[in-house]
Amino acid sequence: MIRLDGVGQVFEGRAGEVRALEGIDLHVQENEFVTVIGRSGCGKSTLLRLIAGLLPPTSGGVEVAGEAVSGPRRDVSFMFQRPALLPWRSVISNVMLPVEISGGDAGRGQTDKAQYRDRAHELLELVGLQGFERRLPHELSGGMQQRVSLCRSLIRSPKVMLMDEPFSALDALTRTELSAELQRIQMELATTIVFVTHSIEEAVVLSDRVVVLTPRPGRLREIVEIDIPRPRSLGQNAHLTEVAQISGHLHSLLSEQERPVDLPEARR
Amino acid sequence: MTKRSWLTHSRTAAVLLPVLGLILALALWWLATIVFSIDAYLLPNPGEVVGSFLDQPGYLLEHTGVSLVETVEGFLLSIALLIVRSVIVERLLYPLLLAVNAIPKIAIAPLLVVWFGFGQWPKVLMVLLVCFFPIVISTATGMKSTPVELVELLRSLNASRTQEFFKLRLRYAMPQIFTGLKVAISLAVIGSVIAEFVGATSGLGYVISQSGASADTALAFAAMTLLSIVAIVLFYALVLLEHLLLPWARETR
Repeated sequence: MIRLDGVGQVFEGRAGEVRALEGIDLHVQENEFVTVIGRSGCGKSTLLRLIAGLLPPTSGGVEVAGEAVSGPRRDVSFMFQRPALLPWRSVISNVMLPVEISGGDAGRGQTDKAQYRDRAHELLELVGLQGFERRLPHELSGGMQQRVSLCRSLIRSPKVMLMDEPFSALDALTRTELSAELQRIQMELATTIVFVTHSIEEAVVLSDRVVVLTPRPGRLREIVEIDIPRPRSLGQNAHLTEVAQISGHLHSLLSEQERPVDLPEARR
Repeated sequence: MTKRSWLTHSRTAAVLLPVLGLILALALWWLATIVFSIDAYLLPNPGEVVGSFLDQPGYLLEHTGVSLVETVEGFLLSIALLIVRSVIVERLLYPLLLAVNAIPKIAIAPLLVVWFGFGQWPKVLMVLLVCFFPIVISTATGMKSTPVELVELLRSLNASRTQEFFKLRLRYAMPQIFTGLKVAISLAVIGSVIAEFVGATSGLGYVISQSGASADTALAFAAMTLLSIVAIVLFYALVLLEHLLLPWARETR
């Protein structure tokens, strides 16, 4: 579904070149849940933006669904760390924003807004937000806002969902809840997900494979397969030993890296 | 609860305190005219001011109407100018705009009379001159205030530049644009009076300068009071409009 071949990214900083990513080869299968993990400044977000077509790679090539990525695609959705809701729009019209901006996905018929409206209601129900359709974002809690953002990224039934630390700004409990919901949704809707996080727990609970990046320049350190049966959760878990083992392994991979230079994470 | 918290937090107090302040000020004013037995041509008491209005309400309201129309026209014209402006013209004219804004408007007023005569035009132009700058500045600031993640969201949805402008940047700038409009509307009233001072045959500014010449201070006060009322009404009209148009802005900013 996603193919990265020798991808590198160099930013022109004020203090000279910053090599954000170097020689990244990665294939993500259809319906696979891949987590990218690494210290801050290792180019995780950059990697996601390359796949999203928000940023052209300095070297190498990015393919989604067999086509070279040259810009944002309508079958790829992006979810941000912050909910990024338009404050003047109600919940439902925030969810409908992608359809309004650039139409639906090819399979569903371009202009059938009513159909998408039904779909939006379904999605909001799926994340437990029925009855909140007419509310404005500021009337919702952080967790609810991020759920709206999740619905927005699902509205066009994307083949690929790119998620940039979507739960990192939430409290621990909401985060656990949303991770569980995301797993359920992925199993139900069969989407390919690339998920960036700095939380080892999140990576272990959510992913089929975990990609560990080294910082500056971001290189592939190791790809760890996780074949613990789903659904997984941190709270009640039938496979605590496996979770603990893999978490330990990831932890040692991340901590054996030398401490990164104290620079803000380069994004563009 | 202590008395102090009632005065600062209660809604009744929020309405009563300003009214009380106004009454106190009027009472002090009245008292001062009696205690120091000040002549009416120096400082009329509030009763004389009201009396002066009641003597010729039609005349005063007519001139209020003239000032109001000039103010609103100039204000709307400056908004219209803002809408039709282009980036190139803006860059071209920005230094000129700064320069014009630095000149005291009272100095330009006689020139406007020389160029455009005694009619309504020089007044409307004066209002435009004082209004335009705060509106331009607040709009420009507002346009730059869009959060990065929202811009990135629209990019990730393949939004066109036009969509980005109308669906995001302009909407996001609205609260700041309104701040500029509120500053501008207060200045607009001043602008119309300045223009009327210099060369006019109607308007509240004209009434004030005429009453000064004939030492009819009570009439001047009546005209000034009407002017304040016009300014307050226009200001709160904008506040109301903002309230209706931007219900989201009250909570998020």
